[in-house]
Amino acid sequence: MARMTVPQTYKPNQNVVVTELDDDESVLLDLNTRRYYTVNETGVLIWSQLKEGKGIREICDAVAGEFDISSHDATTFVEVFISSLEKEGLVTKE
Amino acid sequence: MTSASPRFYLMHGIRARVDLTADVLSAVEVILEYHGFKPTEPTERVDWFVRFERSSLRPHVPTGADANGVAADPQTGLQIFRQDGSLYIVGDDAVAVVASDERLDLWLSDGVVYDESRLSPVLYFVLTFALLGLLQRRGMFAIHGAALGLDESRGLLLIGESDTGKSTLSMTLVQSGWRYLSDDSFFLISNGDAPIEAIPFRRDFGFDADAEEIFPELREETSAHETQLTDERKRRVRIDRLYPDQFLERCIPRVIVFPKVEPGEVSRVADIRPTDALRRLMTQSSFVDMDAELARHQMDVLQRIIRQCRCVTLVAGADLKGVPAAADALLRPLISIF
Repeated sequence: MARMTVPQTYKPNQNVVVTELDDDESVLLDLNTRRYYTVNETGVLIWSQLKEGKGIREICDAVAGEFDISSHDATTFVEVFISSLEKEGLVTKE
Repeated sequence: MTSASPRFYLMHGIRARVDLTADVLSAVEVILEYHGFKPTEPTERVDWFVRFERSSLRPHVPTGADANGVAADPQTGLQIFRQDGSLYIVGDDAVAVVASDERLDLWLSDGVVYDESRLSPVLYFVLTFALLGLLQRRGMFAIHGAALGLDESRGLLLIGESDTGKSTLSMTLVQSGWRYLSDDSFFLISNGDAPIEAIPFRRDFGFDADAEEIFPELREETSAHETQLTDERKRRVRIDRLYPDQFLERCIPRVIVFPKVEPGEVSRVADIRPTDALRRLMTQSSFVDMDAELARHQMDVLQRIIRQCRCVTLVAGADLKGVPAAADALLRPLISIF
């Protein structure tokens, strides 16, 4: 069975305001729900890649390269993170 | 309902004309004065038009899928949302619509009697949220917290939920000679690339009844036994009568303190991460209007104030309570380097 279960591209919700500070974390504020989330530096990278319209494969490669982890681990992390974003309505499938 | 003659108010340079019916005049005046609106002479130069309507005919408001970003305020149950550029604040017997940067319309059910001796919570919150929405559009972002300073260029903010010791600590610092803006709510404002400034919103202090044991001078000032409009457990203290020379019109915050009362511990401060500080600050920020442009501006201001300030947590033990020298010795060094 193929491991990849998420579709290839996701679109960030336009009603999310991202605020970055100097400590490798960001806060995402969803204007529709008024809920906010803290994401770590890996999440920040994934979010920025999604904003640039990158596909899942490219994002996994970027995460693996940036944090010097295996492709397998990067794929697992990206899948879990994007699933969480989708569950919260912060991204939608394209 | 009989119309009253228009009232005119001034607040932080904003001139407001208020048209209302005679039966709500007293109730509205109390709320506006509480928020620092000062009555002024009639003028043609008006920034805000505020109009009250008393009627049995409830105005149409968007509902369900028509309304974007519906949020029920947890404290009041009011629904707050926007559609087509207008901000709606909706309660059972009151509706406010902020239709532009200068117009606020309030509908009040004519089935409700507004007793001037007792505040209507619905009227208070609908009007207050609507005013906060209008102020957001002027780049004035309300924060629940205290603001003090050594002077205009050295400000300190105390940010936290109710009952985290903000008022007690504020009063203790005022006794040490610190100057005050507010013990409960202030605005953050930006002016281009200049540092973010704080200006006061509500100016009276609020204390529990037992605060007189720590601050005996409150006995004189609370002799009228006024209570806070929003919390009848708290005495309303006209701090400007007690310390008239220590009011500060504005300040540039340099330190943000997130206090927590722990009577059994020794008082201490500890630096926190900027993102942690931002999250804590957001929980005490009024996000009334979630228009994308306004919210981005507001988040930019919050982010800039975090960058501008040293951010610390404060464990406030019994050694600080009502001991001005101890509070001053702990907090002044945080700010004195600026």
